[in-house]
Amino acid sequence: MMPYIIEANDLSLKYKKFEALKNISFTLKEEKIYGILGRNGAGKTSLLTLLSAFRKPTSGKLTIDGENNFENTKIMSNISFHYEKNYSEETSTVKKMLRDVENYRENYDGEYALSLAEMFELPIDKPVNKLSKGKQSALEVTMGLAGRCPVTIFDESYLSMDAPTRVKFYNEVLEEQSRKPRTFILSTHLVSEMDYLFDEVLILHEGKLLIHDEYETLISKGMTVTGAAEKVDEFVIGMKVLKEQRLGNAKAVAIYEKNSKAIETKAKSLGLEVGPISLQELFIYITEKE
Amino acid sequence: MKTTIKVIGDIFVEQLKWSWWFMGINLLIHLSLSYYSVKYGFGISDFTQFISAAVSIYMLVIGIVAGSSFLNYYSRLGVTRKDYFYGVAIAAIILSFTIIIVADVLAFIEISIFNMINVSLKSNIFVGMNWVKPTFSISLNGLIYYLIGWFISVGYYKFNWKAGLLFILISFVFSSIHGFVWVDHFIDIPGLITGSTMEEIININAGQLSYGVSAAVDAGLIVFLLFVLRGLTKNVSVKL
Repeated sequence: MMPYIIEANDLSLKYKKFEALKNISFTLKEEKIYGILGRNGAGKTSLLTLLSAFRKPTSGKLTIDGENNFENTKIMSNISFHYEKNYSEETSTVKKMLRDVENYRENYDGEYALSLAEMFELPIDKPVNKLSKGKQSALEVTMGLAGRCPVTIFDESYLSMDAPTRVKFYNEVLEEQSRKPRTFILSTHLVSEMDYLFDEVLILHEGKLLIHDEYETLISKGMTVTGAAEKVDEFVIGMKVLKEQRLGNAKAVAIYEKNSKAIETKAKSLGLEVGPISLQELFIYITEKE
Repeated sequence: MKTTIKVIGDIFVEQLKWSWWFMGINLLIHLSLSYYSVKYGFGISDFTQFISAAVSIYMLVIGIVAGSSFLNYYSRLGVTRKDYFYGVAIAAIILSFTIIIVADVLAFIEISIFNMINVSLKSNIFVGMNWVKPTFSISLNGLIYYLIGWFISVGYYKFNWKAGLLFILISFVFSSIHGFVWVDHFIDIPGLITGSTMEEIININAGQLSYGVSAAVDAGLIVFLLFVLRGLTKNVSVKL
């Protein structure tokens, strides 16, 4: 499979007067697992509806594999978008739903779908509206994984699953990525349990794209510096401070800087303690700060 | 093209499944009425004419369903709005004719059995072998109500409930034109404003219109509705 390059240029989306997305630009070049993070209402789902051509952007340009994706038969048939769908009126059976995916997705793997159905304990002859919410989510991700579209999008479609099932899903995404590499886009606000999946991370906040970076690079830019308050204050002058916490004379400051190695060395030479920041913490600090 | 054909086939088969229920229930009611018509001496029409009024309502309802549920379903399978539109439209045309042709076959079988047991119906479209014209006009009737249902549901789906109400009001115009041109032609169409009321309003006797003119007006109405529906669904946002 050739990677489908996704290019967004100055993308905006308005719902009447409300600006859901504001001039977003990014490029997703390779077959990687991309994490889209954002608090509730940050614009994650709005962005994903544009990628899947469920909506047309108000302004800006979005191309996938070099072509405009909206109403493009070739592109749309190769993008699958999965979200927490309300299945209360879906009377088709699990089997029928999977058969439809087989009819419309050329890379669909029926055997793999059945193995996933077995792993998620999905009763394939049961009508979908009779399944529990967790099982409906499991069906949704089964369709996404087995459909094997070059661009597979999961928009928090795993929220209703219980924790052990979510872990099974995360493992399956990693295994599937090594078996059949493709572009996976996963949106979430459950950052701590999913961070190990992501190759690249995009953080959205109030309709704007705040950060787009490789996971490792992003994590390496964030650190906490702890020590005597005066020393720490002096040390962080001119740096991007995300969070400050004071305990008596001691102070801990979370910073976000490009040149992290040099900063770490310098801090240590001054007798300050340096510690890592998790993606979850970074996400909270950045979206709180903004 | 391949996808369009798949969508047409899938939507047609899905709606045909619903239609078997509709036909089956109506057949049972017609057979029961036939039994009581002999017992109590009142006259009833053949199955095709009997079902024609119910077909209008049935097609209106499944047209409403088609407007919203199929769009989301097929978009999630990577189908474009264009393929969805052609899928729904062509499946609706095929379904409208299929239902009435199947009704004709059932009516023919029913009449043959009734003849054997000396039961006669009040009216019968097979008398004089003129069944083709009523079959065609009743099918057009079903198709128009399907498109009206689709039109109303798109109004609600694309805009809001106020626009939806406006779309219902506009639908009165479509159903009135349709009802008007078919007054005195084989079937009594239950228009929202009936053909005869329309006759009173504009003071023209629709009975003067030939079958060809009535069919041509309906065909024009169908083309117009399809044109409007394509325009409305061309860039429509798919709801989650």
